[in-house]
Amino acid sequence: MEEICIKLDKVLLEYMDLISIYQENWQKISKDLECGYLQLAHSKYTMGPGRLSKDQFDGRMQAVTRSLISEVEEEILKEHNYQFTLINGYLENDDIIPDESESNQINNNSSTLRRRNIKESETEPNVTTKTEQPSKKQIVRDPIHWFGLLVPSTLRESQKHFKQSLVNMVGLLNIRNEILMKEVQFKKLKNQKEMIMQELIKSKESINEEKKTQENAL
Amino acid sequence: MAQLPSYKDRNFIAIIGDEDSVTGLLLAGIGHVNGPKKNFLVVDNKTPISKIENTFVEFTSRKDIAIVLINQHVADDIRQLVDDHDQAFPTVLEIPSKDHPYER
Repeated sequence: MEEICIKLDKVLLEYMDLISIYQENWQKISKDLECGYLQLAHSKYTMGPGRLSKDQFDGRMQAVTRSLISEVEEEILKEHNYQFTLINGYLENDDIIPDESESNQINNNSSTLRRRNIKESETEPNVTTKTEQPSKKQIVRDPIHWFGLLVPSTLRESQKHFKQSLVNMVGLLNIRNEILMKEVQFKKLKNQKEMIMQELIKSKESINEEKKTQENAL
Repeated sequence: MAQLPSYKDRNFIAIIGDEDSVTGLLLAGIGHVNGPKKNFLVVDNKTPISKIENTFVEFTSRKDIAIVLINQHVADDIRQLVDDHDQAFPTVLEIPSKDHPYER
């Protein structure tokens, strides 16, 4: 009984701690987003009207920031919890996108073939280098370049804030999952405690009844 | 080869929000376009609620989305749908926007 009560207290304290961390995280997200919006507005002002709108989005954009879901086993209840992690870059099973640099290289190779006075031995290394290159090659394109190559520093600052807020958002989701897990733990432990309490009451009642029957017999 | 659980395929983060929120989070690199399928929706005053609802339903039923971010003021417009979503994946998170700061 005492053991369950101690566990209940521990879970409740952890639950309260998680809620305070959750609120702190929310404040961080709000602050980051606020700074991001402010810098974005400043960039809009600097770049002029219509230069920083949805019309400028790249229609072939590929996600460079993604989330991975992993399973974590809870120690006390042996239950599974899910955790999100942010990753940058492409995944192995992504579709191959023809890259500009690759197409440029092919053009370069074809231009070498057009040269007339060239020995075969000189052209061979080019061919081998082409075959040695991996077929899957993807360059991580920074979305900031949709709006031009020379963007104002405020836009970069804004991007940083939004990236940070995204990291905090994923952290917040993980904390939320943990809070939900703690709730389940708390309910289970409380049920266990109630069961034990009921058993204790029943055993007390049976002892009292036995005593009464003994008294009556005397 | 053993089949991976369905959540392993969920990698994208989707967003439904105003232009600034979407622009900012796309700058962070979450945007993904695959043919007609996009993982973002820009909501303005002219966007009909039916379109927001349809997009939310689409994002929550897609098998490649892990997290759906939605502005709080947009979520208020489709509150019933957001509240009815009780599945673990995709997880829905309401975020503040420029004109509507975070309400506790």
